[in-house]
Order: sequence, then structure tokens, then C-alpha cells
Amino acid sequence: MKFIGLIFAFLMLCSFNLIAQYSENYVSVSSETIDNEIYSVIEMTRKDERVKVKYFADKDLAGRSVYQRYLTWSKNKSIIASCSGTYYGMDNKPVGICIDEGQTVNKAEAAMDALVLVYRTGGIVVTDLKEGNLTVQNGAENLSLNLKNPVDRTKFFLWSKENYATVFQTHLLYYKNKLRVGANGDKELRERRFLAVARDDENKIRYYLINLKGNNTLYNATVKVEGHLKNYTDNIIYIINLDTGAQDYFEVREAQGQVMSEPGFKGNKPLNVSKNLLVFYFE
Amino acid sequence: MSKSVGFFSRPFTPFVLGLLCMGFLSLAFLVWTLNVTPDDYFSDVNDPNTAITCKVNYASVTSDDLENGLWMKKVITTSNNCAVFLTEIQIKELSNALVNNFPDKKDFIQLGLITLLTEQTLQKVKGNLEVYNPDKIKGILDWLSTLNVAAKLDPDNEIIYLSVTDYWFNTLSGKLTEYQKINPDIRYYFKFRYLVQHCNQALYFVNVEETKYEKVKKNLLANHWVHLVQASWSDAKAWQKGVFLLVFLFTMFTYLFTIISFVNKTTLK
Repeated sequence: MKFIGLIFAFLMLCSFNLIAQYSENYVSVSSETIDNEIYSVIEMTRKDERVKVKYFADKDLAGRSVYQRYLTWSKNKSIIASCSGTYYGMDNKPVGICIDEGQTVNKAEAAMDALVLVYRTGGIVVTDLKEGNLTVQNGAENLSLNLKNPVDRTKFFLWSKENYATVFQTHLLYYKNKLRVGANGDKELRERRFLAVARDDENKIRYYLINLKGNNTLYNATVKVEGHLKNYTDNIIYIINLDTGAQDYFEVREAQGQVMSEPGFKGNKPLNVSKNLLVFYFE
Repeated sequence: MSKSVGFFSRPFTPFVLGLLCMGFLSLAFLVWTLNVTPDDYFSDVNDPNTAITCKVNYASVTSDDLENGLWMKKVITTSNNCAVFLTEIQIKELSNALVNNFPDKKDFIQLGLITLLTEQTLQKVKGNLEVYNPDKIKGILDWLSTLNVAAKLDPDNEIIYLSVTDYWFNTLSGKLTEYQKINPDIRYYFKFRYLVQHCNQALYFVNVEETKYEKVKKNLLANHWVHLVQASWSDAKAWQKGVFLLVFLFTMFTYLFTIISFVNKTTLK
């Protein structure tokens, strides 16, 4: 009887391992080495809205760090990938406009064009601050805002508070078929990580999380990644930059939930170093 | 013959050398710290005298003016060198008077007043903000704190106060970021730190950039040894880690060799 019990327990353990964290119909992970550089791509479709995004911008009101918040939140979640989000400054505060679930973290606008809105529904939207045509849903109606206008800025902060919005700012590298970073940009050579969003043939949104393992300037990396993404899509909407500096955290999971150990799928810093976190998960 | 084990005898030689090295390093570090500390580090912030207020005139404002935008020269007709920052009392007075005169144009009035107190006022004081002038910035911050209070006391005009405060804090935090990029030394000035703190408290964080040396210095002073070791190790390249390991092993070997030879000699005696 004990023997049968043991076999049953062993089979249960095996079956738990076999339960997929996410469906490979929605997420595909690939890695390719081109000219001694590893291009790692996580492709996720928003079809059926099962792939979702969550952003942890800062400590919460109770003073729990992003690391602690993530550990608590992720307990019952099927994580696809997680990585550090935007840059942070000397005060350990994010650079640029930043709001965490309606809680304002930083109102000072930085010289970066991408304003990223992460909705509670798991969607992510990027707007070009230079264009000044941010549209947000305010109840039944749409609110069109130009954040260069003082009144609209105030309305935006009030809206984000009422709607528990999560917002952060980062560099817009590619937008509307145009490169937005110049060759005279950040000259530092380092590993680069981007988030690209595109539309597929069915007009559905697709997210691409791309990690470029070689040492590149921001411009070179953008050009390479834009070219590489042509293998996946012809309809890139935008590419934004993700921090690989002081908080170079990056982790990708296989469909079964195991953390991938290949060099192209991990960052150089541990999770507890991350001051903010962009998480892709499956529901 | 007994051999004395003095402080400068062989087993302690590496220890003494280490202490001397640490001493020299600390001295160099101290000299560097003193050099980067500017003279006015401990100076105080002077309160600027911006008490001369402008006379506000709303009698000449027409309905067309409101629709085309409220212009400063229409409202502030005096040509004296008065402070262009209207007080919260003047703003309230102006807003109420215009709303009484044009009750159906409240939105235009609010928009006009916000433009007047933000973009038009900035044009007037632009020259003062071209170069780092802490006293001028302090003056604007003082003005903003009065508007912040007014937002709570005058709910009818709350949007005006909030928008104006937001605009100026955003502009000033951006300016402070620019100033320290042009002249990194100002980051150590007391007045600069005071202004940065003021903006940070209002949640407009000034992006003060920190060099690698400053980061190390900050962590040393704060005794964040674990973080320092972790950060250095993860930042180090493979060859740097290799060199460190070689030096570490060499040091350990030297210690071991010294101790073994000392023990052998003592045992023989």
C-alpha cells in the first residue's frame, strides 16, 4: 500500500512539472547568434488578451520594495518574462514621469519621448510626448491630452489617480517607421534590451522582448534589432528602451515554468537589485 | 636564544604594510573630498526680495481678449520693474472679477489665466533662468508654496493653482537637471541641494547624475559594504575578476608562507 502511495506521490510530482505555465500558442521564445552576437526574442501575442503586462514602478505606500511586492504578487501567476524597466536616479527614484497604480512617484518630465501606460487590464500603450496626442479612456468618453500643456498635464495626473494608472517614461527608439535615436546618442557600449510592439496579419498586437547580448551603443543596437525584427513582422509600431545599467535584471521562463539559463535570456543583476520591474505573465 | 615576537617582526609585516597602504589611500581620499567641496558649502540661502507686486487691471479686458488668449500686457499695465509673479490674492481677484464680467466664459478665463501665469510669465523671467541663479529659483519656489496653499483654500480656482504649480515645478526641476549637467560642481553647493530637496519633496525629482567615484564614496560613508562588494563584483569584467582572484590568492599564500615559516622556526627553537 505504501509503495502504491509513493508511486502516486511521484506521479503527482511529475504531473505538476508537466502543467504548462503558459501556452506556446501565445508565446514563443527563440535565440539566434549573428556575427557572434546573441539575439534573444520573446514573442507574445495579445490575441484573446491572455498575455498581460504588469509594471512595478516603486515601493508601495507601506514601504515594501519592488522585490517584495513582486514576490507577493507573483505567487499565483504564470510568469513569462520579467526585466527591469526604466532608468532611476541618485535618489533611487525613476527618471521621468512615473505613476504606480495611481500613486504619483515622479511628476518631473525627463527628456525622453516615450510615455508608457500600463493598464490594469494588462495592456500596454506607448505615446510620443512630442506629438502631444495621448488618448485615455475616462469612463464612457475618451480624453485627448497634450502633456506639454499645463492644464492637460494636471488633468492627466488627476485621471491617473482616479483610474489607478501605471505610467513610466523611457527612450522612444523607433516610432511610425522612423528611427528616433541618433548616432550621436548614448555612446556607452553595453548589452541592450528593448520592448517592441507590432501588429500581426490579424491586426492583433504582438509584444517582442529583445535582448542583444553583445556590447552596442544605443543607436547600433536599435538598428540591429529593427533589422532583426523584420524576420518576425513588417509592422513595428514602436520600440522602447529598457534599462540594462545599474539594474540589469532579466529572467525568462520556459512554458513549463523553469527559468531559462541560456546567456541570452538572463541579465547580469539579481532581482533584488531592480528598482522597477516590467513583468509579462499569462492568464 | 629566544626570539621576540614584536609588532614589526615578520608575521606582522603584511599587516603593517596593509595598514600603511590603507593610511595612504585614506589620506588621498580625504584630500580629494576636501578639494571637491566648494567654499560656499556651508553658506545659507538668502531670501530674495520679490515683494514689489504689480498692479492688476482687469477693467480693459474684453470678451474677444478672453477668446484670443489673455495677454499679460492687458492685465499688468504698469511698466515698473515689479515681480511678475501674481500673488494668490491677485489671481483670485482677477479670476472672480472676470467671471463676474463674463459668466459664460469661465473656461476661457481659466485657460487664459493659466497661460498667463505659466508660459507668458516664463517668457518674462527667462533671462533669470538661463544661468544657475539659486536665489531667483528660491523666489519662484516660495511663490509656488503660496499657490499650493491657495489650491486648498480656493476650490473654484483649484485647477489654475494646480496647473501653474505643476508647470513651474516641472520647469524648475528640468532647469536644475540642466545646470548640474553644465557644471557638475554645483551638485555639492548647499543652495543647489536645498532647491533639489524642495523639488523632490513636491515629487518633481531632479535627475542629479552621480559618477562612479561618487557612488563608491557614498556607499563607503554609509557603510554599505555588502552592496559595494556585490556591485563591484557584478560590474567587474572576467579579466578583472581573474586579477582580483590572483591578488587574493597571492596575499593568502604570502600569509600562509609567513605563518608556516614562523611556526617552523619557533618549533625548532
